[in-house]
Amino acid sequence: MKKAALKKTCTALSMLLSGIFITGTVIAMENSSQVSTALNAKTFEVVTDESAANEDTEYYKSDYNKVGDLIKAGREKAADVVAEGAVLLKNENQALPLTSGNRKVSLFGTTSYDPVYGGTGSGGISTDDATTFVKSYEDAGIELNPTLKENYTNPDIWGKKTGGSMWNPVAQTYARDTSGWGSKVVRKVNDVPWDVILASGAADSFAAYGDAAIFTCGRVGGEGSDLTGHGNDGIDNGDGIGADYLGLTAKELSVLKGLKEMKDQGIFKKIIVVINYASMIEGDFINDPQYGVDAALWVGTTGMGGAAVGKLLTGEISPSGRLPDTMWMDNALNPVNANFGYWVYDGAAELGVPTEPGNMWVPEPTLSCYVVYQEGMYLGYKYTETRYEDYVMGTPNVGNFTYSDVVAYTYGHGLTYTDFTYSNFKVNKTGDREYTLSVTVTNSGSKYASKNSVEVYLSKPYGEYAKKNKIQVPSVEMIDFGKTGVLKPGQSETVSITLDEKYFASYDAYGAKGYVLMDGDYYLTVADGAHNAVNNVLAAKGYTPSSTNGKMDGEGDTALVKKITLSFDDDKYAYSDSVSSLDGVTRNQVSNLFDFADINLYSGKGDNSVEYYSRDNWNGTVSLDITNGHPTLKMTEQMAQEIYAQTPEGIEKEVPSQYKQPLQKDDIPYPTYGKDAGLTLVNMLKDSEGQEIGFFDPVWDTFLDQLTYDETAKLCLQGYHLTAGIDSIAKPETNDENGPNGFSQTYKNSTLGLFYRTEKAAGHVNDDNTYTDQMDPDGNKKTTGFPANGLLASSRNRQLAYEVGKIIGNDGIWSGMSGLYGIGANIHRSPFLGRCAEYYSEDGTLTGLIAASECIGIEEKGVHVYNKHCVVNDQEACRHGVGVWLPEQALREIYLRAFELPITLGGAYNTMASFARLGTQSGCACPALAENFLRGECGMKGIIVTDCYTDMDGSQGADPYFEMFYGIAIGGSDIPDGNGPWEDTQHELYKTGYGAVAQRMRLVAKRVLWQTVHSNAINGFSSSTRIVSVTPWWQTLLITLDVLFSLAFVASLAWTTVSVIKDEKERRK
Amino acid sequence: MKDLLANKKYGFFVTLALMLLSVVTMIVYASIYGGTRFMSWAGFWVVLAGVVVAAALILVKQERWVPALLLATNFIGFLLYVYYIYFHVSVILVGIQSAGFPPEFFVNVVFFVITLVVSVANIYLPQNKE
Repeated sequence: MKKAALKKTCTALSMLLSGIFITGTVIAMENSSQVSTALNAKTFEVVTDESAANEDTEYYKSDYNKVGDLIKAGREKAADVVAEGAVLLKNENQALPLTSGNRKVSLFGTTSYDPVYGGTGSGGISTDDATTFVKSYEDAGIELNPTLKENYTNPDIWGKKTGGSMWNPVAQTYARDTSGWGSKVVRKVNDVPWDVILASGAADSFAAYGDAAIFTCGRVGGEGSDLTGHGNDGIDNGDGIGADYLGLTAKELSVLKGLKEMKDQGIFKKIIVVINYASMIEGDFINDPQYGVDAALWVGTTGMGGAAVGKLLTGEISPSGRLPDTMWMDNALNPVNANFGYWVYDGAAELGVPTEPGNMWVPEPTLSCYVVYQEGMYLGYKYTETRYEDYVMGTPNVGNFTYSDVVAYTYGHGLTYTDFTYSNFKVNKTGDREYTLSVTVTNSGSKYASKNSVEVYLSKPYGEYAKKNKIQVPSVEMIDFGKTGVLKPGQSETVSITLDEKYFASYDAYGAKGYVLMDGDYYLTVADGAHNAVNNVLAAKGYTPSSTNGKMDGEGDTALVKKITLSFDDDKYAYSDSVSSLDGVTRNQVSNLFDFADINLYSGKGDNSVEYYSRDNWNGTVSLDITNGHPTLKMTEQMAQEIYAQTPEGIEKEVPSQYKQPLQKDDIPYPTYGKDAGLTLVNMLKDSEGQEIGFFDPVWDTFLDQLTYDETAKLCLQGYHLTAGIDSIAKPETNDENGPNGFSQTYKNSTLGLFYRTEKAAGHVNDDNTYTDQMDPDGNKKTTGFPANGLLASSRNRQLAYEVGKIIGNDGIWSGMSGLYGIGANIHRSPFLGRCAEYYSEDGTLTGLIAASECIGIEEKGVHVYNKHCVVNDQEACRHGVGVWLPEQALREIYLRAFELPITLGGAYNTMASFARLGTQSGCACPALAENFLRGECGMKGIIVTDCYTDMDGSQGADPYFEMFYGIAIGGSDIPDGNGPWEDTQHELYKTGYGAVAQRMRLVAKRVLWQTVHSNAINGFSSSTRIVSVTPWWQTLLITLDVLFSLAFVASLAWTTVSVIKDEKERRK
Repeated sequence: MKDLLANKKYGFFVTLALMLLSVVTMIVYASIYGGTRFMSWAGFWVVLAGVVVAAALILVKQERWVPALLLATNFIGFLLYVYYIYFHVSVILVGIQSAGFPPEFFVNVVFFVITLVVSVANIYLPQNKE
């Protein structure tokens, strides 16, 4: 190479390398915690002097001595959830269980060979140890048709094709397929049609495996989109839903028809359907004679618990679950779907509010969309059963309502392999607000042992007070439940359930503005599902099928009903049960907090009004028109002002000048900063006498005075799956991870985990934090992924939920997680909800009670839940900023109850706020929700994290609709789930002149520190523990390379410059 | 003009094309990301400033410095582009939405990369006949 070219090459190359490395270093430094986590690089040393060697610093102890034992217990517990949660919908002709000697079966449907284990997005779980249906069946002694197995699994025949990439996926012919994003997601079932099955010649093998034909239908939902997308391969029957993903496809139905023909020919003895989806598909086909289905079993999504499915089919375990949701015949008959999705406010554009769609990440307008929960209280079974009762009773305006055309299987329905009878039903008042209900449950069958779930339903009076004050009263509401042990044939167990009269009260948002006990007759009953409960109550009211001209479709059982007559009382439940965490003393008066979310009470409603569903007027309020059945709302100027107030700085995009509302400066003094008192975080756990230091103890002020402003800001602003570490007070950076179905974490990854500490103590960790070859190989495994939470709800087993929680808690201890982004407490408002695997039920009380038990188990192990997404994040469509309008009665009795009970009964510490809005207020900017309700009424002790902050602040190019400092300033949220360069610099704005903001920041910092010191993050920390920052190896490497390349560039440049000067001199000569 | 083009070798015309390409790249960049936080206006102006100064150098017959100048300014522009776009990339790769890169992202990347490659190649090309 010529010398000149060499100089150019050296200069250019060194310039490029130094530029690239310096830029890379800047970016890496801005994301140092994530990089260090990814590389498992040590960023700090926990230093403890020898005097503390004898201190017990395992404040939260694991129940397991080895991680392998925990893994085994976790997988078994997941299987228990499937075993107890699976719901036997139908079982005729003794189709199930598959008895010994009758277990040669043919397995149809692509899902039979490719199960759905969980949801996608934050509900995603590790499937490393998940059990397939095939393995589960074979382990249970079921012999599977090998021809079908080969055909369905061989990629060259019908099997799922592998390979491809995220950007270039392999097109599937016969496998479930999802493509696109946001509202454009296309889901295809792609099952193998009957003609293809026949053409393959597989039919020759059917007779030899004809004990049963098992057909599995699977559906997948997840984060980011609901299941209403168009373009999938469902059947469009013109009802406005489009190609319905939750109905069986033409190909699936062709298989069922084909199987029916084979059954008629005697080739198959029976047809069994297994439904592998987190919520409910349409159930019209199950009892349609053209498909000849003998038995149907709903197994949800199975997580790592699939091993139980085979045992359920063979009868080793009897199903005992009860549906957590209504199974509709046709989703077009579920009126909620007319108000599921989003609409743009009329007049928004005229007010200068953007109405254009966002982009592929945030696909909808974030500032101008709304949805009305017009159904109010009448969601799911509370609609179907109430309208049925009114139809039976001949209530005016009930309209035509043929229950059997609408409902395939009601909420609470669930068969077992045996029969149960209920007797000795008693209800006694055992306290001022306590009733004790008992019922003897007897296994009256002769062959199979089984558990039985006992559900308690309440029917409240719908009298003049309710009608006058627009209190909506469902015909029955499930208020509690119990579960027997395994009962052998002939065996009995008396189940005793203590009922809280609080659930008898209704929220009166328009009259008393509080909870009231209405005067009249209340009916308590136990029943197999909500429909039988209504019939029991109707029978107790004197109705019979004959007296109602056959409208009543069951006799009902009056022996299982207790009538209680109460007088009007608006005082007994006027105050919350919990002590407010805002002052540690007050029991707050419960009164209207959310008028702003009810369009009929909102001060800025303008001419808007909505008629919510009413028992008085089913005909006039319920619409099944999917396209046009929603209320139309017009944006008012007050709405626009309030929406824009939540982006005071207008980061990313300019706020229109008429809506600019920056935070106001003030003269309020700032807190004291940087005054060292020699305290570390672990000192804040207990005082010198061993007493726990309370949240309001003045020593907290001394402790917080040690923080600098920047440290305080760091605690407020860094929250991307963590809470920030502060070295000066030995506050470790915590790990807070998804999700609602368990952590999906590898045990060995965090230095805060018991696995790491155990291995370190055993000498299996090198100085650079890598593990030696002697490391326990179980550390490479992932924490247990649990089945869909609907299965836990359908188990109706609080003890099981508690045990699941304990596994998750133990997983947190071993993997170093002290925060769980879960549980998921939103509501299955529509079957089309994308994230139904993360949530429990259509019923708020069931959700709340099961979730509370799970939270107890999780919190017991020092893992703080962030129950999400509080509140009304009940759809994925336009979840970013959709304004939800609903009556406060429904908000409190359904949607908030699901969050309230985990706090009041389960000790849940934290909450994740919703992307959605209540009215105009975003979930992270709603002090009525955060301060008045969660902390004031429920007594929540911890912090509120936003949902993914970069989805809200404009990072993804959509219109920003929330800024973290606004949330902090008004008490709507505490920390963002997200941190980036913008948040790192924004706090400089508030360093002087914003005393009120600074005081709120200090309170947030206190809450962050409080919840950390009461978590397993301080396991291993003694009173003398110090955190010493360590420069991670990758930073040293990057800086070294930066310096080397920069020196090379400078040298090359100097060489070139000298040469040029020399050349120039030569040239001039 | 005739005088300007006298004694010029093909490298000079590549330089002119590169100047045009740099401007086009910035127009594409601004049109895609101009309203977003992923836009580096500093990078935008550095590249355009490089083109303006390059034109001035050509006018004063100091074109031998232009390839180095354009490489430096285009490279700085590229680095600023990378710095501002990385968060966008990370959101896509690890964000909670199921999504991929939109076509305009790739269009922009292609323009920046071609501009940079041509800038590097151009420093080896003779500008004037000796």
